[in-house]
Amino acid sequence: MGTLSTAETGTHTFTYTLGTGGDNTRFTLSGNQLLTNDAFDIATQASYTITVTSTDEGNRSVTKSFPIAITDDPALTRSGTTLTVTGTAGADTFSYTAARCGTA
Amino acid sequence: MTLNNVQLAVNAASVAAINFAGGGGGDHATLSGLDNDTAVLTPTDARLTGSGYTVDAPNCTVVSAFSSGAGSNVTFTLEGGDTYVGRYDYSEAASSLNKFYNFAIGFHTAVGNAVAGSGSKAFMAVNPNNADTLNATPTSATIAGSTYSSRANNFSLVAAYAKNNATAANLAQATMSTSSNAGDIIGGVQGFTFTQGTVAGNAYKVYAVYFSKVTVSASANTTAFIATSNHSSDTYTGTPTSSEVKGSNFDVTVQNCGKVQAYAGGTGQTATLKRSATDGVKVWSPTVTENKGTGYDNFAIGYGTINTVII
Repeated sequence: MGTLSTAETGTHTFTYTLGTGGDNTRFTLSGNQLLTNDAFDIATQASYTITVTSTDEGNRSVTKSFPIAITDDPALTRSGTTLTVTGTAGADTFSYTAARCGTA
Repeated sequence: MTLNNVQLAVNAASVAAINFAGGGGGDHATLSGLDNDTAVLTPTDARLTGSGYTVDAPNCTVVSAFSSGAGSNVTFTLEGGDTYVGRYDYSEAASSLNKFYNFAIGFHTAVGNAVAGSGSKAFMAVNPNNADTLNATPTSATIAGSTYSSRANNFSLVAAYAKNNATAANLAQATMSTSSNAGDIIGGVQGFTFTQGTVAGNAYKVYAVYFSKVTVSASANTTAFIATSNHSSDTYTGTPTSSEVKGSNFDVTVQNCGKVQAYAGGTGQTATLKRSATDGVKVWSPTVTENKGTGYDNFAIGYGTINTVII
């Protein structure tokens, strides 16, 4: 859902680590890519705050907090436990794959 | 879940039902369950229900549904003149007007429901590697094996196929029946048996192709036309209640027919006509003999040897 970068003079290699606890648990890092551990539901929680530490090859680091706002996908509307996926006026391709847990 | 190949993230824990509103156009939906799902596919709707989820995809032009497990089942509803394919490995329903095409794979049990008397056709195929079965009445035909069952209801024509030149491991068997209405007929030769007639005022035809052993139950109003193949060792045996043409790799038996005409398919073959002592026997020519009694009338035609036996 996002790409992390660090501004520092010169050429450096950065390693990113995610904070612990709180909203951080809903996310994960893959290199400099910020990923979600789960699908978010705006009706349940509309925003999150995570903490990311960037460390260079000289072990110099900087830690920052990032607010993350959840926005509605216009194709998805939810009423209770019923989710409606709305296509376009043209020919759409819809695919659903059931999952035992987590996201579908 | 995706829409137009864009991933849509959904928290499955908070969603129990999903409804796809296509919004027009020729939409395609692919619904993949886990196991033991139930799918209902109609010309205007598609629903897949599994443990903890229900997905609806109405008004799609093309729907593909996937599942697995012995408890999985799919039901197709067709419109007049549509075609159903029920095979051991997949099933589908296709609109005769190109309005829809519904497809299902992996379901243990499939049922196709046609509009009676509409000219709808069902094409079915058993697993060619197993000794599977066909059970067909004028209104319903079911093929079944150890891992599947497919039934076609109220089709004007059902054509069911087994493996040609089957070996001992895959000798498919068919059990069929006619209605009790006047004018129903049976045809049976090596590799092909059919029934046809009317039921509830609607014409029906059922074809069993390449089934090794076929048994057809009929009525006094039914006439059967059966024949041996061209092998000299083939035989015909007719009794008041049962007539059988038989060869090394086929066996067609018709039961309780009012009239049976059995034809020799080759030279040097033997027919045996059995009757009670009070029934009549008439030798029309050296190769045509008739046994006739209450409720039956059996002809052996063209056989090199015709034996008549009192039972």
